[in-house]
Formats: sequence, C-alpha cells, structure tokens
Amino acid sequence: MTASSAPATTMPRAATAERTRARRPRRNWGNLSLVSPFLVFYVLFLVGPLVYDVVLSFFNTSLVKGGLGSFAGFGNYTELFRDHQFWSAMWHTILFTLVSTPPLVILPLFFAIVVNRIKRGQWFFRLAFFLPYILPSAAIALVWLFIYEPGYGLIAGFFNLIGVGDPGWLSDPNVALYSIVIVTVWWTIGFNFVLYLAGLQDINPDLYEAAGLDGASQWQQTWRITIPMLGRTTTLVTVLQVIASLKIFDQIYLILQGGPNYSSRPAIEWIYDTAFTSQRVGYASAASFILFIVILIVSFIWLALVRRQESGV
Amino acid sequence: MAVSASRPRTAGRRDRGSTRRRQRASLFTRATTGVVIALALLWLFPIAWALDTSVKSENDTIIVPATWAISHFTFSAYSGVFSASDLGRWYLNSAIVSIVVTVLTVITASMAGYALSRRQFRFKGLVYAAILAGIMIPPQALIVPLFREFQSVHLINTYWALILPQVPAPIAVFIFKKFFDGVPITLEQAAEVDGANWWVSYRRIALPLARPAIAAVSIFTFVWTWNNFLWPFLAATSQTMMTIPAGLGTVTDGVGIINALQMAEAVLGSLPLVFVFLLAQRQIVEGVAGTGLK
Amino acid sequence: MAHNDVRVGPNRFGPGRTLLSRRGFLAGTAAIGAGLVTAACGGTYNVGSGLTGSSGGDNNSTLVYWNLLTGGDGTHMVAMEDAFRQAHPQVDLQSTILAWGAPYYTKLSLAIRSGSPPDVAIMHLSRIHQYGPPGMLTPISEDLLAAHGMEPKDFTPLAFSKAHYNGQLLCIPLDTHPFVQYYNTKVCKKAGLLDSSGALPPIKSADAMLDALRKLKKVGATPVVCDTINDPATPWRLFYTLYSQAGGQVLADNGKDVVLNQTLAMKVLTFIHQLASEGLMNATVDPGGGTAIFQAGDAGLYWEGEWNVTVFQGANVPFSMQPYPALFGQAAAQADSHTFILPKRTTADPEKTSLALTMIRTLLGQSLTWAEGGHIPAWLPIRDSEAYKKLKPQSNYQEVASYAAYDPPAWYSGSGSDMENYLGEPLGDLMLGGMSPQATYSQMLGSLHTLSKEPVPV
Repeated sequence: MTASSAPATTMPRAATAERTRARRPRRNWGNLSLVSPFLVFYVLFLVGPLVYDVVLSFFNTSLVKGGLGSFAGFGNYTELFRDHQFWSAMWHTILFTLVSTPPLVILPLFFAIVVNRIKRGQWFFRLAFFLPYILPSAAIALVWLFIYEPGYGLIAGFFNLIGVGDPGWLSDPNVALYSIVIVTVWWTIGFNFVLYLAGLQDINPDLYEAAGLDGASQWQQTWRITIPMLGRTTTLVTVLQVIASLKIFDQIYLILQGGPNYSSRPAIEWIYDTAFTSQRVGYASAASFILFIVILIVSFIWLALVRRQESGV
Repeated sequence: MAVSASRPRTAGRRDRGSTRRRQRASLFTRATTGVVIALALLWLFPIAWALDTSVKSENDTIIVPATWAISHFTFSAYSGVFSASDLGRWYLNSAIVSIVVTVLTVITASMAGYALSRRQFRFKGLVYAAILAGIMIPPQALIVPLFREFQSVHLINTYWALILPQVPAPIAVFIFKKFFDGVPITLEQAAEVDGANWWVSYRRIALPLARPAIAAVSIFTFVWTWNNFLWPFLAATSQTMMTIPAGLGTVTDGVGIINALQMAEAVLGSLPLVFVFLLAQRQIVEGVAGTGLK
Repeated sequence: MAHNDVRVGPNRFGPGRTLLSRRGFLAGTAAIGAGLVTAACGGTYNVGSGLTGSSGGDNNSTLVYWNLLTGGDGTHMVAMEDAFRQAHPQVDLQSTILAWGAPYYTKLSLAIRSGSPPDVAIMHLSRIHQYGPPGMLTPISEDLLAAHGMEPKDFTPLAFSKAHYNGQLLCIPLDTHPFVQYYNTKVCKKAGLLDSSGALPPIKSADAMLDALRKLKKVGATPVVCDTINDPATPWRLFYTLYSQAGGQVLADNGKDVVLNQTLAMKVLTFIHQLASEGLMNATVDPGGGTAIFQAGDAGLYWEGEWNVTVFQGANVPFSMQPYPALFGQAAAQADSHTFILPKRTTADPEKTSLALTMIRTLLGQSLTWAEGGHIPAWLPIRDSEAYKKLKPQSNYQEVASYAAYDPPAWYSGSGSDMENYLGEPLGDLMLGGMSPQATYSQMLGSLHTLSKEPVPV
C-alpha cells in the first residue's frame, strides 16, 4: 500500500514535495528495519540451522571435535538405509502416530458436540479437558510414572481390584508404547477439543432450525449437519495431530527412555542418542533431514487438502 | 428423513411419533452428557491424585490399596522440594527465559507482521513466502545443528542458548500480519500525512491496535516456552542453568521412595502455567481457535 | 482464504471479557519476575554466570558433585556427604543425583564438552574407555594423591590398575560391586544344603548347582530368582560371570574385534537354558519384583548385585551372601566399580581440584558406611579393618574384588551401555525360556559385530 502523496494543505508546498521525495527511500529502509529483527532471528536460528543440517549430513562430524570432519558424501544416507535401529525408531514414531491420531480426533469431536449443547457450565469441561494441555511434559511424566508404577501405582491397584493381572504397562515391550498413547490422549485432547468447540460455534444455527422443522432427529442433525460442517476443522485437527505426533519425544523419553530395550524409541530420540550419546553429529543430521522431509510432505498434503476443501465448499 | 408426504409439516404440530422421538432424543442427550461428565471427572483425576499424593508422607504413598490423604496430610514434601532440590533456581531460569522470549517474540513478530501487512519494501513478497515456509520447519529436527552452532561459540549452557533459538516464530508473524490486515487503514494514513515515520507509526498506532493479538501471542509464547523440554534439556548442561521441565526430567532429587517429593515438584513446576490459564482462560481458548483456523 | 477465517479481530477480544487485561497480566508477570530475581540475588544464585557460561561451582567454596546413585546405596552416599559437610562447614557441597544409566553419561559428557562440568562426579570404572581417550578427565598424579592423604597402596590393586589409561590415573576407586549369590538360610536348611556351621558351602560345578536347585524345588521354594524384566544388566551380568569363569573373552583391541568364543558361550548358554526349561529359575520379574520375592522368603537363592543387603536386613530375612560360585572352572564374577572423577574444565583450577580431592579423601574415610550398603570398599585401610571384617554378610564376598571380571574394554561397553542393552535383551529372553541357546548366541554375535563396526566417536 503506498500512501497517497497528496500533501496536507497546512504544509508549505516546497517542503512537502521534498518530504515526499525523501520519504520513499526512507520508508523502504524503515520498513526493512521493521522486518529485519525477525529476519535476523529467523535466519540464525531456523533457516540457518536447516541449511547447516543439510551440510552436516554430508560429513562425518563428531560432537567431540570441532569443524566438519571428513567428507562423507552420501555415506551417511546409505548407512541410514541399512540401519535397523533407525528404521525401528521411524516405525515407532509412525506407529505412535497411527495409534494416537484416531482417538485424538474422534474423542474430542464427540466431547465438543455434547458439551456444545450444554447451556451452562461449559467452563467446567473446558477446564477438565484443557488443563492437562498446559502442564509441562516433565510434570505429567512424573505423575504418570507414579500412576503406572507396578505394585503400588493406581492402575496396578485398579487391575488387582478387578482381579486381572497387571500388564507390564511400562515394562512389556508390546504394551509400553500404548501406555504412552494413553498418556498423550489425556494430555493433549484439550487442544483439539477447543478447536472443535470453535468450529461448532461457526455453524449457522438456522441450519439446525430448518432441519428440525423438517422433522430431523437430533441424531440425524448431528450426523448430517454438524459433522459435515466440521469437515474443515476435522481436517485441521487431524493434520495438526499427525504433525505433532511425528515430532514425538518428550513423553516417551521421560517415561520409558525409549525402552524397554529401545522398543519404543521414536525417531527424534534416535537422533538425540546418535548425536549426543554416540556423538555422531553428521549421521544424526542426515536422519534429521529425512524426518524433516517426512514432516514437510505431510504439511504439503494438508495444504493440498485445504485448498481442495476451499474450492469445493 | 423418512417422512411420508401426506403429513403436513408445520411448526408446533405434535404427533405421537415426534414426541417419542423427542423423548428418545433427550434421553440420548442426557446419556451422552452423563458420559462426558464422567469422562471430564476422570480427566481431572490424575491431577487430583498428584495433588493428593504431594501432601502425603512418603510411606503413605506406597500403601496398597491406595487411599486419599484425608485424615493426615503433611507439607513435608513441599518443604523438602526447596531444600533438597534446585527448583528455586529452575524457577528463576524458566521465568527469565520465558519472559524474555515472549517479549522478543512479540516485538519482532509484530514489527514484521506490521511491515508485511502495511508497508512496502523490496522483496516483500519473497520475504513473506520465506516466512510462511518457515512455519513448516519443526524445531525438533534442528536440535543437532543448533547445538553445534552454540557449541562453536562456546555459548552452550548460557541464557543466550536457552533464549535465542526460541524467539523466531513464523506463526506469530503470520498472526500479526493477518491481524493488521483486518485493521482499517485510515488512522495510519492520517498519521503518515502528519509526518510520522515507520517507527512512530508502528509504536503509536499499530501496537496499541494490536493489543488482542499481542495478548494471544504473548500467552501462547509464554506457555510454550515454559513447557519446552527438548531444547533446554540439551542446552542446559549444568543443573543450575536448567529450566523447570529440563530439571524435572533430568535430576532425581532424592533416594529411595520419593513419590510425594516428585508430585510436589510437578505441582510447583506447573503452578505458573495454571495461574496463567486461570487468569487468561478465555484468551487462551480463543487464541487456540484463532491460530488454528487460520 | 475466505474472509471469515480471520478470527483475530478486535471484536473478538473486546476488553473486559477476561479477568485480567493485557496490561495487568504483563504487570503481574513483571512483578513475579522481579520478585524472583530479587529473591535469587539474595540467595547464592549467580545470574551472571548464566550469561557467560561458567558453571555454578566457580567460586572456591562451592563444590558441585554429580552422581547416579538412585538406589538403596544412595542413602549411604547422602550420609557420607553429610559427614563431609560437618567436617568442612565452610564448603558448600552441592550434590545432584541424576537418573542411572545412559542418560547420566550422556549428560555428563555433554557437560564436560560444554565447559561447565561438575567439579567431581561418580563414574563406573568400566566407562573409562569412553571418557579416557577423548581426554575428558583430569589426570591425578601420585604427588597430588599423596598431598591429599592417598597412596596407590591404599586401594584394591585390580581396581586401581584399571583406573589408569595410557599410564595416567584418571579416577579414584570407591568400591567394587560384584554379582553375588544371596541365599535364604532357612529355605536352604530345609533343602539340606547347609553345612554344619549353617553356611552354604561353595558350589563347585554346574551340575552341582543344578542338583542344589532341584533340591530347593523339591521343598517347594523358588529355587533361584534372577530378574530380567526392564533390566538388561542382570542377564548380562549372569552370562558374563559364567563366561568369564569358563575363561572366555568377548572383545579385543579396545572393542574393534569380536572374539566371542562359541564353544564356551554355548556351554554357558545351554546351562542357563536348562535352568529355565527345568523351571529352576524365576526370571519373570523386574528388579523390584525379584527383591520382593526373596524378601518374602519364598526363594532359596537370589542372583543380583550386592546392593540389596540393607533391604533384606531391614526386613529381617534369614539370609547370607557369598561370592557367586565358580561353576565353570576359575573364580570370577562380573563386577564394576564406582569411582570419583575430576572432569576436565576449560581452564584448570588447582584450588578447586584440591577441594575435590579433599572431599574424595573424606568420603573414602567413610567407606564403612558405604560398605554397609553392600559394596566392597576399594579403600584398603577400611577394608582391612576389624570393623569391616565384622560386617556380615558384606565381608563374606570381599575376595571377589581381586578376581572381579570387569566389562570388556570398548567405547560402547560398561554399565548402562549400548552393549549391555543389546546383549541383555536376548539373554533375558533365554532366561525366560523364550529363546534357544543357538539363537541367543547368534543374536549376541550380531549385535557385537554391529557395535564394533560403528565409528569410534572419539
């Protein structure tokens, strides 16, 4: 937007003309000054590291030594293809995403629809479901480690009460990841719940009235109006959920340390172990880049979906 | 909707089928509401349990079957926290980091958003596209090069390392830009005609108008920065520089049975966020909705 | 994007709809922040160090000490630290306990590399191959030792010799903690295993062990408990104990070569398999569960590290302890040592080093307290004392310190290491009866080959 150069009548014409001439280059620099602080941070700590990551992935950089280390070419990538531990970790991340996304999309939708109908006391549900979301992962990890504790933990006690043996929530490799899914659903459902609530409020109430006049039951209204109208929100929730799951680290590290026996270690923890325990920075950078590409692909899919929805609606 | 055409559909017309449907519907509604109420209570349970455990003596935390600490409770775990652990120091670090990051983020993002929305400059389109693309960069995938960056200038385990990488937030720029897009132009034009330059225009006009966006971005940035685990966990290598999540996730502050102590730590570490949540609940919620449905 | 997507508009966040306005919120936050800073400045918090990256212990009356002793022995360490604090009230000893295992070592090495390490820390002796080569530890000369009241002859020879790398002393041993055999005297008596003095005579062969276990089974006890769940270390320790007794080696050339002897390994693995298949061993427990079973008096034997002694004493279990019996020839038992290290700082600080050594000497003097927790003291003046000899059953197995089998030297081995984790898994499966000896051997060999081929990070 360029400001009109119509001078104010109160100013002498010569001075105004000069100011107009002088203003343009100054505005250019001024505007650049507005945007450059952000750009400095952006380049130094987001774009720069990304580029640096790609560079590192072509070298055998070690955490221990300075500099880039010896040139590896595509060696890191070819080694990654053969690395069972890495692909196991990627699989754990993907499995976690596949298992945790459906409940984190469907449950909050159900909750939001029901809660939206409640006239008073919505604050209570917002509190109950959203409060966990703002707690730090380290705090909830401590709480759930205590709850899952075999012997005197709450869940063990509950299972003993109903006479069923306590499955090794944190110690059985077949169960451990699902224990984390439970924790994650509890922890993050609030965010999606709120998104759905907002989406629900967007739906034109006249639609319901018209449907009611036509004799549609509440169930039919929900099924035929609410859920389709929430299509865009659902897409958003799903994609955000998938992307967040692909970045999973905190809960699995804090509660299981990637165990038992690395059976739950997600991709990011593998990257962490490789870079900081095995000290292979270059190798870990290659894996980081692969993970980044995966997340990028998912983001693009979302963009495509959104665009199609926009044009379709 | 299987309705025969012979029955007239007028509002207020009641017939037995419709009444029964309505009764079934309200029963259904009551049932589902009941289910959700029960689930909401279930959702609160772990937090309640953590609070309860934090006021027990350690021996009481391991008795089976578990009971509530109604008859006898003690605050020994809480006094133990501050004497036994570095939690006080972690509080300070978390506060410094979260507040500084929030201030810096709001300033840089609002300036950039304002410039992208309202001002012209060369390469504006390119810059905007680059920033948008940055929304898709996950910081977790960058921990290795970031660590290397700070390691090479010997700034690991300093506030610089904790604060600086958390400042750039492309999504915040986007939010501010969208916000300014929706603000009427005329005020600014008048100011410009009066001779205001870019800085004055930003400070005197844009900023005050942007209060709602600033509030939303501040709250989100503060919460997210406080809760950030992975990067502070990496960047703080001595326990005196850790933020609360990093400290809680690294240091075991006692030996033997320390359940009450750990629950007290979890409670204390979460307190500022609960405080923020209770005060700014509506804004957080609306912020989530706003940022989500961009 | 449709216009109604823009929800961040002034009409959505009108004033007065929140409990606190933005200004109030910021003011409140600033107040809290100011309060915290004031409180911090009043305390010993040094905000300035956070800007320059110096560690917290950078004034000469503070000593930062890291350890990973989260178990029962941790309480003994706390007692020893308190003794130091009483003897040196002008020193602020800040002790931090971190989670046991790989996370501890990762954090420790990151701290050393970032120039802000603790002043003194605990390190397992087996980890010297990971910390020694890259120069992460401050060497300790004999003169320096002597200046603080310590001499080479004061330490267990085996542990002390292993505390060297390239001829330099890099750590000071505190103890040796081996894999041992606990036995319930009441149950073993019932099975007719005890001798006239009420002690369990050393079992001299694998067959004799099987016999003893069968006898225990006949009297209705769990013959032996040895945990595997959530614990790859214990299966490794059992295997390595027996394998070392048979004279086998695992690695050579600092971990670059795998020399696992198939004959000897299969002999050991077959024996373990037999324990599982005959139902002579309960391995379906995690460390806590194993302790609980022995504590309840349901088991005859219990194979584990010696650190549970105070737990059982506290529960009044009728038990004793002995070196793990030599079933396959020579006497050997897997063991490791806790040692004190002086992490290397970016700039040497002789005063701080001296303070750290004083602390180490004081703690060594408290070795009797440490020994009560089960560990064999490396500090010979205490180990050879009457007081320790009277400490039963802890002193029963002190001889193991002279023939302890430490983990094979490699950058990837040691307590809590990748090797322990990778090998512990198939060994655990073997103990649970879920894997054949041959398959276990193949998997172990495969893991070792993978590890040995990884580039050395140093």
